[in-house]
Amino acid sequence: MELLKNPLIMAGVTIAVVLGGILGACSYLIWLERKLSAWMQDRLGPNRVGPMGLLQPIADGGKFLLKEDVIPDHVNKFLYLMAPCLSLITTMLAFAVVPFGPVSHAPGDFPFVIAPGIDLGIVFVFAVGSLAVYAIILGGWASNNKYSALGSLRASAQVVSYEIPLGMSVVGIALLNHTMSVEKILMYQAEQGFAGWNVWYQPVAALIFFTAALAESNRLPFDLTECEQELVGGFHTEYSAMKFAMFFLGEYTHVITISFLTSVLFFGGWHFPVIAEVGSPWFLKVGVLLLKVLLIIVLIQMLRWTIPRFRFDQLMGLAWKVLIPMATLNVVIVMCVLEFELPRFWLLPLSAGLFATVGLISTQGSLPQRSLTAAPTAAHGHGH
Amino acid sequence: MNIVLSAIRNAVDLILPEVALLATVCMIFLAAPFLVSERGEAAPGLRHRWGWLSLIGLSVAAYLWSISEIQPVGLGPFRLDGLAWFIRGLSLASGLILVLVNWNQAEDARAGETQACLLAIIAGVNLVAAANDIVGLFVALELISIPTYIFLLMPRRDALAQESMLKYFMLSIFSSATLLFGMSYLYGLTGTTHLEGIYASLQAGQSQPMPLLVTIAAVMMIAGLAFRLTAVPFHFYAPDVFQGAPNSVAAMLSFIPKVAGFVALYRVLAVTIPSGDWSMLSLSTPLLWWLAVLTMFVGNLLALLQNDVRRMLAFSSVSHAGYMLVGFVVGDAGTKAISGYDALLFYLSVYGAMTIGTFATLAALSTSSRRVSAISDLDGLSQTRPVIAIALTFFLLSLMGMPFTAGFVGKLNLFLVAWNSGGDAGQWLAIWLAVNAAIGAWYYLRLIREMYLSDPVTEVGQEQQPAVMVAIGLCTLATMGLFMMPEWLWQAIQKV
Amino acid sequence: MDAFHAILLYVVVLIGFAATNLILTHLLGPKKKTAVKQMPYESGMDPVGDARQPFDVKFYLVAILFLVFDVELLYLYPWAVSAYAPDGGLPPEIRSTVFGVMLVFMSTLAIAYVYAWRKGVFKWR
Repeated sequence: MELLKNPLIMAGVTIAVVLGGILGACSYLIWLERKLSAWMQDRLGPNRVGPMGLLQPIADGGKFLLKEDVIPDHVNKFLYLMAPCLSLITTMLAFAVVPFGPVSHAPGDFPFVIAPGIDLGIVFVFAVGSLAVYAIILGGWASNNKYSALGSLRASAQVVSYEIPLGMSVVGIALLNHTMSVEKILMYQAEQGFAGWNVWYQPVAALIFFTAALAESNRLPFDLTECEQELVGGFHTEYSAMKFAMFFLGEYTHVITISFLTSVLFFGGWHFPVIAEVGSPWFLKVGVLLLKVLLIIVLIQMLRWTIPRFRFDQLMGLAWKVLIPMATLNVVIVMCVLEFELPRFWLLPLSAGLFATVGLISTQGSLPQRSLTAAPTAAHGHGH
Repeated sequence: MNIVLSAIRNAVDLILPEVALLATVCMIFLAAPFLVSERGEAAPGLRHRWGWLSLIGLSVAAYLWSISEIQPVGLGPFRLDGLAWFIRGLSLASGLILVLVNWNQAEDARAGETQACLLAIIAGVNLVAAANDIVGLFVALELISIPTYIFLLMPRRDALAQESMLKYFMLSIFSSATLLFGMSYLYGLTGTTHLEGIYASLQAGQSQPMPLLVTIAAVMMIAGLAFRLTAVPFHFYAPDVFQGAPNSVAAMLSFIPKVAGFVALYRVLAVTIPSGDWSMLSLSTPLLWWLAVLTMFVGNLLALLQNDVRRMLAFSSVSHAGYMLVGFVVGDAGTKAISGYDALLFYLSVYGAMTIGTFATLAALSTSSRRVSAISDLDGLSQTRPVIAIALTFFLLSLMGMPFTAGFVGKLNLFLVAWNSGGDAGQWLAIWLAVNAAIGAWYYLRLIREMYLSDPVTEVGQEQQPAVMVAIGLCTLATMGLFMMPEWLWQAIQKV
Repeated sequence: MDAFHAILLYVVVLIGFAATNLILTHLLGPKKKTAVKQMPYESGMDPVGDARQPFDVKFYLVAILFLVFDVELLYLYPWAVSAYAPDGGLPPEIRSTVFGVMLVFMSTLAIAYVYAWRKGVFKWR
């Protein structure tokens, strides 16, 4: 297989594997979500099409393709068509640096990542993920529909607000592992064994990363912008058939990407104490990684029907008033621990202390309002 | 490597006055929102607290400046050479007076932020003089610009202030972009952003194969900085911005950006040791010559046509920028005793006192509801408020260059260095300077005539504002003192 | 640089995939345009008013604050990667200086954050 030694051909094969994998996984994750939601809500999910509804995604895919492609007259055509494409392209592009197996740089080996050797790593994911905001804004704006415009504005404010805690939580990881490259972080954890998983040293960062990533992909409990009751369909009201499917493919790809990132950045990737160590065969490693990713995805799907939806001001308050100070203080803690050369396990109690402090402050209510020092002259109190 | 590392480690020691100023700024910004209620009301008299806090911050900075010594330029991010030391003193003194002028300009709820912006601007001027790196220079220039935008709008949030802020903002960001573009060419030419490295490599003839790049760099940087100097093709914002701005902001705008602009221009045009025919300054001298002449003429001629006090003063500040550019163009040449740069620094100091004093008198006359705008508002000032009228007359005579004022000494110095700089260009420059001084006399005398020979038409504010009166007093003292005893200033300049 | 060639190939493939999807649905589906389908959707009612309304300034404020904090993040990334690296990292003479500088940097941003909080930018009513 001399042809495979060409890195570009190898990249092409990896891309084909990834595309097929993600698209197939998206379809069956939708099935899984419908079944899970059904069991949690004490009903049956799809069970008509094929045994246990397993052919349902195929039927859905067929419907999306064959349905009439309505482009309303009042929309801004180019932007209207570009928005779902942008959503799909940016979220799938973010997957380019995420490893899904043991990464190897030797030519001729399957690299298990589309773009091996990128030192940017996480910054690439954030940069490309930030472009996804365009898809939301353009979708709502081009639709020329009041509800879509409002929904897209709120969705973009939400996405933009949660990008900062997302980025900040990674700074702690970068400080500890001296690199931004996702594969190197994975190798660093794998080499240190079970005690080297980043989640033991940065539990707060893991929590912030997971929460912020959930909010970024507009999943419940953060999906106010696309819920049915308030804004019809939010920014994708005017979309139907394949364009709607592309928005949702984008959302599920984002969920898959963040599950991969969480398990690779914090939970050791393909490493597991006895089963998949550094020298184990590749199928064990891939299996362990995919199992971890599946567990996180199931967690995300179960969260959907467990926690009530956030109101929009609560959502923004969470991002700006809770997550950002917590992430900043986390970075300061790591910085101090590294500067004064304390042993690393100090990070765990310090992080727990940080979490407890922030939790106490935010659950005790807001700080008391300061009254005016010129109170005697004000006679109308808090009247409007 | 070790020299660089130790220079970095000791860098903060060189900028202690700025650290003090910026610490005060942070304190004010941290405390201000807590002392103002959610609805924007504050206790009356809050502005006095901010004023005293700013004065304390300025005095700490001044003390730190007085104990600092001029040090040889190293490889660190900051330099404390003679120019930095002098400009620091100048900006701290003018900052003191400006804080006094600004004391009553904003209402209590917003006074804290305006004083903090002013302190940040002063720190920015200091950092421009102390920067040893073109990136640091740019950041310091932005430290002046960005609080200026806020400062333009905050005291009075009416439509005029909004217009002036927006115009200043738009033009300022374009000029910053142009300046940065020129700086990037400078970096491309020499491969380093450090000023010492740039000087060294330009002196070694690094750019000789590509004089076009040097030209572009010089032209772009002059274009970017000429905005601050209100030099002629870039002066269009001045009348509108000055007209809409509150008086203390106009006082600041007429002086501080000029200081920063001249210092930045000096640093950036590699003037320390021009060698060879291709030095940046020799390329840019003809350009600056034309800028000086045009600025003087446009400023004076257009001021003749104005009917609004502040627009007239704006054009007069444009013309004074032209006079100062004369000093800059003369450069190292000049008489045996003083060079063009020395005359420029002297004129800057004198001009600061004069112009801040002028706007301070306008601030003393304006009430919170009515501002002095048309020239007819000044009618009969000698009868309604004689003290302020005398002060304003004195400042205007000094701006004009009348003998027995410091302005006369300044203009005389500029004339002499230009005349003696050798060559026709310098002598023509001196002639145009004299002609413009004569033209300028007309509109200053017009203001004085309105004050003394006309009857009062409109109601002029009668509130006693002690802070502004102190400021006016200080400026008068400075203007008179610099005429009678300029030696101490010359000694300070000779250190540069 | 091979890594970025792979990304370029990926981008091209993705654009092709998205375009193919759009073209396929356009070709494969029936086309029956009715007036009701072409109108903007407002839960069955006829739409009233224009969709292009000016929007509230608080969205703009959130975007600007995001910009400030995102640029702070960008400054934190290179420092985070290189500061405490075991093989390279900062020379030990300036380690404490850099620590102090980063603390000052983050505290300046904290002051701006407190100011914005107190001025009500984070209130989303």
